Amino acid sequence: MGKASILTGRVWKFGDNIDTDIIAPADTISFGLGDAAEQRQVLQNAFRAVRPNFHELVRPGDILVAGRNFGLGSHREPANKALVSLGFSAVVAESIARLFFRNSVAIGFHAFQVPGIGAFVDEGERLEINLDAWRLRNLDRGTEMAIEPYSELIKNIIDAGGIIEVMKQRIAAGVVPAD
Amino acid sequence: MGMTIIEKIMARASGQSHVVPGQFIDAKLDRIIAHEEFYRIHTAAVMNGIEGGLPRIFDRDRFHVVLEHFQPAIDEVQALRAVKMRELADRYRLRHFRDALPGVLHRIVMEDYVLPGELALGSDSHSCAWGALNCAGTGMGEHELAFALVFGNLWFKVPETIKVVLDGQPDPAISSKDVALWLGGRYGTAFALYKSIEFTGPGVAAMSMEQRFALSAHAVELGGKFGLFDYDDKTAAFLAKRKTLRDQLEAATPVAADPDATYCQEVRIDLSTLEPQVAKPHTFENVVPVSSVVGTRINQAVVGSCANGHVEDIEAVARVVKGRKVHPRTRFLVQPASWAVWRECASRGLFDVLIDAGVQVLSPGCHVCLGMQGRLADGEVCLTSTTRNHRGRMGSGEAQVYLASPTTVAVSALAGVIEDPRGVVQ
Repeated sequence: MGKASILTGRVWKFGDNIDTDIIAPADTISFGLGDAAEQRQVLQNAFRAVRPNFHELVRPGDILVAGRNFGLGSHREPANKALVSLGFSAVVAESIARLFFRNSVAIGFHAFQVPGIGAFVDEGERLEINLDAWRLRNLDRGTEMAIEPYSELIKNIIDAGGIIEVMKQRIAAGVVPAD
Repeated sequence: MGMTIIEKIMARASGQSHVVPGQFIDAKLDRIIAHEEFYRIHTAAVMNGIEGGLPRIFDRDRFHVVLEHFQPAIDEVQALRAVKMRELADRYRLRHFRDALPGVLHRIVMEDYVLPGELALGSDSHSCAWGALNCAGTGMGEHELAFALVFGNLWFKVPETIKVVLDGQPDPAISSKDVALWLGGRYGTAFALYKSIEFTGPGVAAMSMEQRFALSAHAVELGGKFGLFDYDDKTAAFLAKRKTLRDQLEAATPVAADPDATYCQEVRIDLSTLEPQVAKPHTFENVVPVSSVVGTRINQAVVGSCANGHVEDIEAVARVVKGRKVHPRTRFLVQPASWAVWRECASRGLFDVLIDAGVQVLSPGCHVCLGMQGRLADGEVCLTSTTRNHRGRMGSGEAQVYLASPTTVAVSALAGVIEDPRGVVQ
């Protein structure tokens, strides 16, 4: 997943309270086995209640922008993976629900909480996220704003590619106790 | 400087004498609980290249797997997942694997496993429900649980704490569900985002354990990471009924906030002035007093879930429907949260009352709350005491789901329209 220090993408914009039932409807995951067939099923139904056939519209590298408490509701990780399957490089929201944010970090997917993002960018505009300078740039308007850097701990997990990659590093280093 | 309940628990779990909000810690976990997501925890490891899955389980006496979300299976894929779960239970030599006792995870877990003062993780967002027992429970995703199960540790950011103080004598028609809904309406779904809530005050002391369950479960609908209660004689009485893991119970250490603890916000609610509340579609913050939606036609009424599938909830329904009939054009489904709840309701004759009134009683489980049973068609309206009214959660995205207390739901099921329960319930 995106380890580039600059992400650039076209914006898809949503409002407040986009819950995980919208992102990955329960009927697409309750019956799945977490395999490729399920991921395809989730992809084809992602956001269907508010944006039918969304998977046909998103292009690789696009950026999802949302309002308050993005990803609230059920803990379901397939909702986080749906953003990856759709091709998004990051989600930027006014605020992000706790479990959705943790799951994003855990799978190595960029998630930024940026108060004021709604006024900063509109759908279809191009957004640049600079992870060295921790700044956003609206490439269509030429405007910039600062974002809060990740804490070191979170940055390390995302840079590793997720928390299971961190576990693999520890296994490789021989520091996992015997069962 | 004093600490709140969660600050004390996180200080102890990270081996420090003191922690402050915003601090990152590596915390030792007291317990991990998973439902069917244990399968995804295993496959998350395998699909990320760890051959054979998790290399170890941190503590088999403190890891519990309960097959409940998909029990009984409604199709072959769910059945197949259950087969794989049983294989995994053998493969990982699990000591606590519950297969054939379906119910709602959080009720089962509070009856049998979690303890006061613990830091415990669950594979389900409503794991904050365990806070009613003074247990710092919270939900985690599969990747993080895979890591936590191997090492028995996980990173946390110490949250700020909001104090919610309840006081005053409520109308008999008011329940803790109305308090949760009122908070959602007043402060929104991001009220306690990244924060811990402590529910306290005379109104909490007077509240039964089952009323506390609904409030702690709904901490997540208010954005919260934890929804904690003090340990008191009611907590002790509930735990005294526990039959499993008595040695662990005897070692439990409840945690109370220091008198000089710091809170980021304090909210006081006078229960005597609270009206019954209803959340309109499709969020937990779209809340109005019941009086403004009275008369809304309902096709389905539901009482159940980790929030409101408890004995008192079913008792509240029985009190309302006794000797009366559910409206002929309304279906009324009641789903108890566990077989212990079922047994008590049955032995007290509550189900006879419900069945006589035309209520459909379902076997314990999460099915209706998350839309695996009793699904709604386009344009149908459901009034439910379950946990969420998100668009499409209980069936069609074109259905309308309203949330309310069990008493409001029962009164409305008789009328076939949303009704104000005040005056009906004495």
